[in-house]
Amino acid sequence: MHISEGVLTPQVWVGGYVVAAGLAAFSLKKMRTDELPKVSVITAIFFVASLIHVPLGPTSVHLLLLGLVGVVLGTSAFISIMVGLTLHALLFQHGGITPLGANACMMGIPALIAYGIFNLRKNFSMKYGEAIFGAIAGAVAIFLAGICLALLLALSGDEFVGVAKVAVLAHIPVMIIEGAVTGFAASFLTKVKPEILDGRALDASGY
Amino acid sequence: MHPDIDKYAHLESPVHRWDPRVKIFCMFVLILTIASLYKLPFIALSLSLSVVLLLLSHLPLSFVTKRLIPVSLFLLPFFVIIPLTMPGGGGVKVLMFSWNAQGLLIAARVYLKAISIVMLIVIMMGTASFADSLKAMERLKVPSMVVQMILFTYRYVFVFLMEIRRMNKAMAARNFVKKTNLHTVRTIGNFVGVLLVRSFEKAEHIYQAMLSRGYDGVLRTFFDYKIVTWDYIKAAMMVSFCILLLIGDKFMWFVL
Repeated sequence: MHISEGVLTPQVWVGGYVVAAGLAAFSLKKMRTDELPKVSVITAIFFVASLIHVPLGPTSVHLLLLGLVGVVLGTSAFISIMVGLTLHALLFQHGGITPLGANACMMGIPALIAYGIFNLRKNFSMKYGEAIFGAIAGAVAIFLAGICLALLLALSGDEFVGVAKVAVLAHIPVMIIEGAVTGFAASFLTKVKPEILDGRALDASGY
Repeated sequence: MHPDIDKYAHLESPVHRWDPRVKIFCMFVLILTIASLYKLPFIALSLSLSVVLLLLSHLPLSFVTKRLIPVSLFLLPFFVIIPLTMPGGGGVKVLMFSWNAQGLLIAARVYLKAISIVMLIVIMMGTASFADSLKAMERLKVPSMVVQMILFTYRYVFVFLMEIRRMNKAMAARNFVKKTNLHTVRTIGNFVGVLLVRSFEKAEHIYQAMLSRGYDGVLRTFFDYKIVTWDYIKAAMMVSFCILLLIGDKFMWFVL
């Protein structure tokens, strides 16, 4: 779901870079050096997520894990996604260099919002809080990313409005799968290694 | 899908010999220039420059064409969707949509720009080892934290690809078949969870081992870059080409 090279007009990709640079600076500023391995691990998982396919009727969709990145990393999620997208562009030629800022906004902002949604679970004391809020966070992240994608395309010219509509529709099945996977992953982590979800770096005493 | 970007980094060519810092800088300027073009003839001109650079770089053609597939998959549908959905279509009707031939022109513009830029990215990254390119990025003032993140992520990707293959094999050995049902989704959720927990612990160990050997976030290498006159000449040629492209694109109103 990366926007590829050539599509966005200069106004849109420059705007994307400006917004992304601000958010990346904020994200980097809040990140501590000892969080580096953790953030890099999640970035690598985000990078390979597209290799994990889930069958869906006759076709299959691949994971994006935007919600999970947000849930685990908090504010560092933005820089993580931006670095992951940079590597996608440089190594696999998915997405690209010019739309990098726009792509980072499209996936990074939903990840930050997913973190906010997941944090709401603390206000409710329910049995499967992590699973439920994880699932909502995962699904909402994809939904928002789809909307952002449509918006960026539509901003680039009237001729892309049709493409934008197709893109939003294509995100609905991904949203459902992604929500379910994020929910199960969050509940698994709660049981096995809850400190990952606390939003702090692991330390040597963790194991 | 394997990031084998280093495969042809050892070749000998004018592009390989170009100082990585200057090369990356110039490629960026060229990429951003191409992304700002509007007129088809100038886009075609930039594409021909990309092809010339590709020939100069001695990279095998298949190395590049393989990497044009993802962008093609994303953009080829545009040739159908844009003419059908673009407002102002006349005459010809296809089902309930009107076919606007102008849309083909727009799709071609987008596609040629994309191909040209993707080729440049492959040339930029394929003509130096990834470590070299990273070092050059650090010299070009990319924040050290970001460079380190890229470095670690790049390393972990290979580890995780192996881990995923191993876990898939283990699941297959236990007769797991992916289907469209809750069980599959739950299993994949747990799969991601296990991958996370394992990789966290591994990464933490690696990082502590690095810290105990004195790692402080600075990339140190035994060699340093040296810019020679030729680097500047190549850069000057590229930048003037960019300026000409931009001027032509902006002021040659009689061109399509």
